[in-house]
Amino acid sequence: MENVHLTDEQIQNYFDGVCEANEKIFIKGHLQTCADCKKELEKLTSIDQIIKAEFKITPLSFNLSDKVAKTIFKREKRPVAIPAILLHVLLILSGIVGAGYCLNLSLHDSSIMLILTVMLSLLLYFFMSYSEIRKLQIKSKMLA
Amino acid sequence: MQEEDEKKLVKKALSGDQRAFKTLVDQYERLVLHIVSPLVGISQDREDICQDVFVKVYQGLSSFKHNSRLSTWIGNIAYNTSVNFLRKKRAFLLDDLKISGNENDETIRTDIAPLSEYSEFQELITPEQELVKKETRLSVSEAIDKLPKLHKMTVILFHYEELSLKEIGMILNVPENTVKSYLFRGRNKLKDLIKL
Repeated sequence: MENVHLTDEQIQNYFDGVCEANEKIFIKGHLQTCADCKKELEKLTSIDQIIKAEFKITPLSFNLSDKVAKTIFKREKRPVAIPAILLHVLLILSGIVGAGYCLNLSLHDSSIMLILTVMLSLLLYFFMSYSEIRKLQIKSKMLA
Repeated sequence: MQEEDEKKLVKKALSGDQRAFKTLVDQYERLVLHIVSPLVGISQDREDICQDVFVKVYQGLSSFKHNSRLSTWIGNIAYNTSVNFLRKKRAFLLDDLKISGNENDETIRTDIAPLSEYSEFQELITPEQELVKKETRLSVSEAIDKLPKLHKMTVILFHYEELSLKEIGMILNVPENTVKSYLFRGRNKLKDLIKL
């Protein structure tokens, strides 16, 4: 029995800590008396230590977090801002046309009223801070 | 990273905190690199895939329920993104197979469909493997680079990232025993290559 060595699989399972309790006791006992198997286990320990100490992977040529954040938050802006502005302008236009029609105003008066209201609305829109819009959006996204 | 810290970071990132999301990317960049690089190699594609992985992470973050560790979840996204990329680039995969070799490993070939279609090229790598054996001791990075893709990745994830066999299995969508097999073969070859 003394000449029977542990298999590679047994040694690796022992090293990885994935063998059964009984087998663990058996392997531990064997390792205390068998220099060859002990040497095999030491090779695994060496591999582990060498990899931890020496292994290096080529890093990326740019700052990943900056680039990803730029992509994501830039992407998010588009669907938010453009439809919001369009909707806003459409609502104003339809409101003005409707009001002009109801008040029976001349074309000239209606146009001036239209231009003034659009300018005022746009000014108001740009005064709303971008972060506020984003916060509202994220909340509605999360609710959805 | 502790589970509680992980949850806080995810919550912050979900609320639109750009800085929190950047911290998350910094935290897991190395892991993603250790999954993408062995599969794709060092190239422009690797850079694109790494970005793509984190965009997917951001898009899917609200569906992450903390049933697994965040690292395992992100690792799985990185693995799937890389494999999908390789599937689309069959020619590239063929070249790579000739270079890195693929032993007689049935489990590997069933994991990534296109590899199985080029099994006849396995014979082409034998002389190179023989040559490698004759070379003097390689550095560990060079030696790891000579391993087949999945063996390489498993060795890195287990020894360097210190993930468990179960976690690696979850990343690669394979059972624990398959991971054990990759690790077993990878380490045996490493022992030869670095002349231990």
